[in-house]
Amino acid sequence: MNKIVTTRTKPVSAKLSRHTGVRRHAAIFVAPALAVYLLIVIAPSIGTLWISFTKWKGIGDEAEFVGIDNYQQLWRNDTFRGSFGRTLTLLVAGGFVVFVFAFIFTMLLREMRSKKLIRAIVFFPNVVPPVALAIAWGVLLAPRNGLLNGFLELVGLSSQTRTWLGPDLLFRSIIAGLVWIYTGFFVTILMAGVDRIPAYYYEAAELEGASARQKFTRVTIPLTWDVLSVAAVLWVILAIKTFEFIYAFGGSGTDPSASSWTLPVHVYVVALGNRSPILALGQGSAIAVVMVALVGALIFLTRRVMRRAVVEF
Amino acid sequence: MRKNKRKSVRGPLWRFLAVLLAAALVAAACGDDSSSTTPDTTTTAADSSDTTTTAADSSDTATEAPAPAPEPATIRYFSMWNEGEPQQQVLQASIDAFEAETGHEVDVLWGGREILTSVRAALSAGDAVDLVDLDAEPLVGALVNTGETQSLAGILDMTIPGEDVTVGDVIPSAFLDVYAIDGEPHLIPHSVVSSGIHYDGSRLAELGIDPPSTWDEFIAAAVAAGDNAVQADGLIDFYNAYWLYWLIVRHGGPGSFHAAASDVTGESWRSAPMRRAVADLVKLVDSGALAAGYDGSSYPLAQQQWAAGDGTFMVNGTWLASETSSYASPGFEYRLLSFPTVDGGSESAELYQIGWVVPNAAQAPDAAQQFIAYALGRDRLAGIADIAKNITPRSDIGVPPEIQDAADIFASEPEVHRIYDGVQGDFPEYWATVFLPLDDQLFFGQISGDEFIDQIASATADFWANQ
Repeated sequence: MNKIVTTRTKPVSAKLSRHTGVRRHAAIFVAPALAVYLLIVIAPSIGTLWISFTKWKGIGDEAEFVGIDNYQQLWRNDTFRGSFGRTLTLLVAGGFVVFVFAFIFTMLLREMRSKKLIRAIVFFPNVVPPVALAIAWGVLLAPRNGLLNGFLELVGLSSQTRTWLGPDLLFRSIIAGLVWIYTGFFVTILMAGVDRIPAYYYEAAELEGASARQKFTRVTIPLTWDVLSVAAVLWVILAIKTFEFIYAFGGSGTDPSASSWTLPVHVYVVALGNRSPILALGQGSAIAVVMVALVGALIFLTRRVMRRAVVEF
Repeated sequence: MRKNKRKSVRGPLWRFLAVLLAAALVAAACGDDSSSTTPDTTTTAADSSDTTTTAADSSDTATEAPAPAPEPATIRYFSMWNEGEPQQQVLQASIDAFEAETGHEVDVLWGGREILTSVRAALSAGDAVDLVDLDAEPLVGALVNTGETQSLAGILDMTIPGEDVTVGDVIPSAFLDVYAIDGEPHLIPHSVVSSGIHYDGSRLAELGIDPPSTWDEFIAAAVAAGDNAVQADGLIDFYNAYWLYWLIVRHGGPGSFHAAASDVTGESWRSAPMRRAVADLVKLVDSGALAAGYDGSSYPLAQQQWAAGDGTFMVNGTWLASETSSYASPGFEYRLLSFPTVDGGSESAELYQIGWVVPNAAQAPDAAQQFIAYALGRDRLAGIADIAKNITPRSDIGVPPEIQDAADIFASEPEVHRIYDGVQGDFPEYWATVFLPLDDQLFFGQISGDEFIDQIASATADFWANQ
């Protein structure tokens, strides 16, 4: 008996020591990556948090510690409230439209023969630099000689022509552009989920007399729920951080007017600007911190709301 | 035995960490070395002897007697131009000739309009920045107002190589005074820009309209000129701002816009000249003379349409001729009106300069100043007029016909004011977050003149209360 015990313990302890050895070796391999990560991600993040408590214009200016002043000022700042509101509008309204379109495309594509080709086509805007797309949208939506208004006139819908980039419609046009870009991205993600669903579920549903809507709500949605939840998180991040397309919309190559700022554009303009730098680095950092907090809170909420038991199939 | 065993386990880890630490120390030493010795190495690119004295000298010599033969130095030059642009070609020619004649080396970064980003990065890394070339307002806002540039008063007494004149003889003091600190210039211009209302001279003659000179005449001419008479790229808010800023300066005089923007109570906005300026802008908006869809026109669509003959007037900087010449309809005759005047108002001219500053962090400030004096030489600076189609600060350099009207504005040595009356340069956050959004709403007809006055007065007070 004793013998057996010793023979049993020996390999266990050997295994353990081998395991610790692996851990030690792992530390060696992880250390460089960890050092780089600490240096270029964690340290600047802590730096940003610190700057958000100061008034600082950058090198040559002495940083003055002001506590939570920058955050209090944001609260009272109309321009910030505007940027915040537009970011939420993009997130909610834009998100709603993106997912409605993505689902429609997904359901249509599921039964199409050339679905790979069409999926590639709808994904295409994602591989073109957003700045180029933003300029193209400027040409498309130009008030006179613009392609959209020109088309409307051609088909006898002159009454429907609008100043698409005018103050009333500018931000809606930006959202339309972003929906156009990102729908393809989410179609691709949702398709990956839908493609996993075995065809016999749909066949069975059809035999049971399920309508298209019922197949969607009873088969597609429950069986892609995990993919959907990831997609929702991705949208939250994309909607809040999108910068280039909004910045370049209208194609001027200069800071856009404050009436179309979202949070990242606001951060850029007040912290760096381009030709007339504002260099309010404290305020810019405070907005960046608010953005990170917003992303964190919304991801937490999204995960919470979308938490379901995963259906195994 | 146990000891040995532990050693054998720890050995590779310690060795590895030791190597890492050593590598880190070497890297840190190199980093220190490169940042602290950059001036040395750069200064000595041409001559490796006596490096440290050169670097030390360059910061101290300002007060010493001028050295008979200065050590060849490397000037680190940050420029707003992109390679291939006309101004870049003109400056490159000056650089080449300067290097050949003086033995100094010019290490130039053609960084485009966002050159300040590169300047900031270099300054924060402790690298040498000897010369920066950019339009004055952002340059002044970012470097001069923050006390990071040095006085260039010494340049005024330098003789321009190849001529019998000094820099002070050829650059009007009115230009230098605009950005002077304690009476000493910190920015030396190589190009001078202004703004006004551009039109096609031949088209106006065809329409039988005389060039207007007062605001009321201008409105009447715009209404008479037919459809799309006044073109505007409404998506560029700082172009829209030309109208109201000019009207404020006309009604209230130079400095009145600056004073209203910096009035912490905001009440200056309610003054009579402000109300008159706003009412005049509303007259233009209500006249129907602005091109259809001007509020949603993206740059450079409207200015291209204007040059192609769709529209008559356009407010813009004097660079409009060079920006639009490739779209101009046959026979297009570039003309410029000084911004229309108002009864009893100011007639001052806008002066916008593009030029050089020498930061305090310069490692070769003497060579940098020498370059400025060299580049201001008549033959070398003439390229700014002939090739880049801009006005130069030297009155003895002629300009091409398309910008003759603009040059004439300065010929009479008028009272001058800064572009946007200095509001953009001195209060960039107020400009971007308070003034421009409300100005757009007024210019697009979304709010009335009274609403504008009420809103900007309270927004101005709020803005300063928050600072």
